[in-house]
Amino acid sequence: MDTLTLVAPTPPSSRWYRRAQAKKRGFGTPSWFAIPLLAFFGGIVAVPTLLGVYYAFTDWDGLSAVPQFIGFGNFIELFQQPKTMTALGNTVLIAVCVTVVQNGIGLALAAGVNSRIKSRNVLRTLLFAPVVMTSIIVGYLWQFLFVPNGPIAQIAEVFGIENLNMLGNPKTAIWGVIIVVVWQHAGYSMVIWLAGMQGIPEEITEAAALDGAGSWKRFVHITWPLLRTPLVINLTLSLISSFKLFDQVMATTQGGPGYATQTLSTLLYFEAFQFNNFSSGIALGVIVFVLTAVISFSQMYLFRDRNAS
Amino acid sequence: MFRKSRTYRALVGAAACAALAVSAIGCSSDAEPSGGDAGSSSGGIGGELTIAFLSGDVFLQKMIDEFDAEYPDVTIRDVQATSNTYQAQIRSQLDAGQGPDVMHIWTGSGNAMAAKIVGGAGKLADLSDRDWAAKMDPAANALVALDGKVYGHTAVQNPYGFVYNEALMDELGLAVPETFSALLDTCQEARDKDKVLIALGAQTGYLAYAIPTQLANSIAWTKDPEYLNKLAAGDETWTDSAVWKDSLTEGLELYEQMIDAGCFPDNVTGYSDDAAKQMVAAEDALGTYIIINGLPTLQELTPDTTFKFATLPATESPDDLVLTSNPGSAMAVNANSKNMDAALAFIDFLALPEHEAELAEENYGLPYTTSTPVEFPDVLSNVQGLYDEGKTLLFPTAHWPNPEVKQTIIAECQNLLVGAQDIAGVVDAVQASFAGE
Repeated sequence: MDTLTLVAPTPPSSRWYRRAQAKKRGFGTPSWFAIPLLAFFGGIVAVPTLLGVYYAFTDWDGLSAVPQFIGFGNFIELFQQPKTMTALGNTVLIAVCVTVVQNGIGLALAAGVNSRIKSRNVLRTLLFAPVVMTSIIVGYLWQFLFVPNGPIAQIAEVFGIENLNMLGNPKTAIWGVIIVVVWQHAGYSMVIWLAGMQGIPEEITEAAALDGAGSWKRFVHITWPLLRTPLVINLTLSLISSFKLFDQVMATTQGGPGYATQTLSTLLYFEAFQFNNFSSGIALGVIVFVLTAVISFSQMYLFRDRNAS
Repeated sequence: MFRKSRTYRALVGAAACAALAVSAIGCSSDAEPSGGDAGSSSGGIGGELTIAFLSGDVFLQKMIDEFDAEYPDVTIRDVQATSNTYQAQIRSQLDAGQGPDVMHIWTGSGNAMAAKIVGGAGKLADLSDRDWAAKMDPAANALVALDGKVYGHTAVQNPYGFVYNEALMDELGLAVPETFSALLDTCQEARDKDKVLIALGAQTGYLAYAIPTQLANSIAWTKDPEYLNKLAAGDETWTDSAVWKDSLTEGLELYEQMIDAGCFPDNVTGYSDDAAKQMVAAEDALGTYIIINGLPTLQELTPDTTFKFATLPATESPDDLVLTSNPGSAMAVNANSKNMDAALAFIDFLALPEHEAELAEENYGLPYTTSTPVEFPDVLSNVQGLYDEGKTLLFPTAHWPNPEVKQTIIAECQNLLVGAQDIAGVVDAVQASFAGE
């Protein structure tokens, strides 16, 4: 008598089962349509990026036909220069301050325009308007506002701050740049926070209100814990954009006075396009990329959903 | 069968998408300014010609229009950009083996698009066989030539100095100073009348170092009138030149005295070039320090004002006054130009004597040699005597060995203005940058 061996069916969630199903589907129709885009991305983004990383390890000046490989020479030379460390320090300072202040202001604005005030739609538009302005124009605008004896200086006098030279004083210039960036992008953070707030079911906050929770307690204990996703998005975007900051600095101070507002991006520009040190410039780009990647991945790891199975 | 037909449809769809992408790329490349096609007309100069220059160059635009009329078979595409983006844009194109057929370049070796830098790398055509090249003034030749090859055409130099409101100076009873101590006195007198003598836009990089460099240049000239020629010829190096180093130190000391005397606005590093011109237009300042071809921008702000030009004295002797001039721009031809005939024809067109004279007049420029006839503009009447006597000195930046020197001196002079650096520190940093440190 033959023995009938019963084999339990493969659980649908197993990796082998999923691979088998994928193999059965084959390289589907949608995948074929992605090929031109992938080719375009490869040619325009991936290949130049990889080539750029290679040039960071050479002595290429942008004009020579054959660059010589020099290993980590560019990186060592950059980190030995005081101006590089100054630029790095300025970049980190700007990134931290802009991230905290911009998101704090954006959160407060979002809480405000999420309320039932009548003008909330107009306010949302006005507060978002600076975001769509060209960064260079914003920089030039604030450069005139910050002129000594200009509008900002005169307002500062009312508050007892005499002789304000915001962008011309190496101690205050970087704070002027931070103000410019926060002013321009707070509306962007506001929109992301607002989207998160509008995703919170009203019943929860109403129930809390019925239980006697005031607006602050509702925000701290209900709204804020449910804003983890927009928090991650805002932190990531503001950190990345701060590390790449260029337009506003060039429009206002060009990295001066002295090197007081020099950032890694402006230093990259000077090295590559003013000094013909393309390899050094690209090396700075690699440094910015690595820093941004480390921060982004660290952030995603710290804020990952630990409850997901 | 089902899978075969699905795969077949997918392949056809992907091929259609790829064909669409290729045709889109083909169409976009036709729309991009290219190097031009050589000689599409039968006989003569024709085809497409791309010319790149700085925005607002009214004279060059006029030349393009006249060239277009003279060579109707040439289709001209102009590419314009402001100076802070022009260098990066054109330089990147040249690095990629592309770029315009004819382009504006800077003279000397002081920046990324300088004639000797780009020409020395083989990106510019050798123009030494053109008729006008042999007739170029030696001073001009030295700015665009390297190892016997001529990489650009330059015809005029632009005075660099103090441009002031003549009527306001007269109204306040102030005279143009001819000695340094008189300059300090004039600064103080202007302050006593609630005016600033020189609205300096030190927030804009090149203006932060312009005055001390001019003072140093003038002092060096008094010590050795040939100092700049020796450095340009390589007989001395900037790092080793004691004349230059001592003069730079003295020039910075004079600069500090000017700061202390109130020659510039308070918080001078907070004013950009544009803000400084606004001060002049509002008559809060008597004048500003610019290259003379920037006068039209200032004049636009205050059309009814008559401006005059003066050079700043660096010593106690009026005989030591020397006219500092910025080397004028140059036009060059791309070594990889796809329409070399038309490109060379355009350069030759610019080099015609009547056009050089026109350039001088439009840009308030002066020929490099006094023997070239020029109608002296009224704004430069104060310095005509200096020019006629041959007391003209080029601003030294064109002969600096690398672009980092300029950025270093900008940063260090800004630090000096805000009290964050001393003179010795500035000099040491600048001298180190000459050596590429």
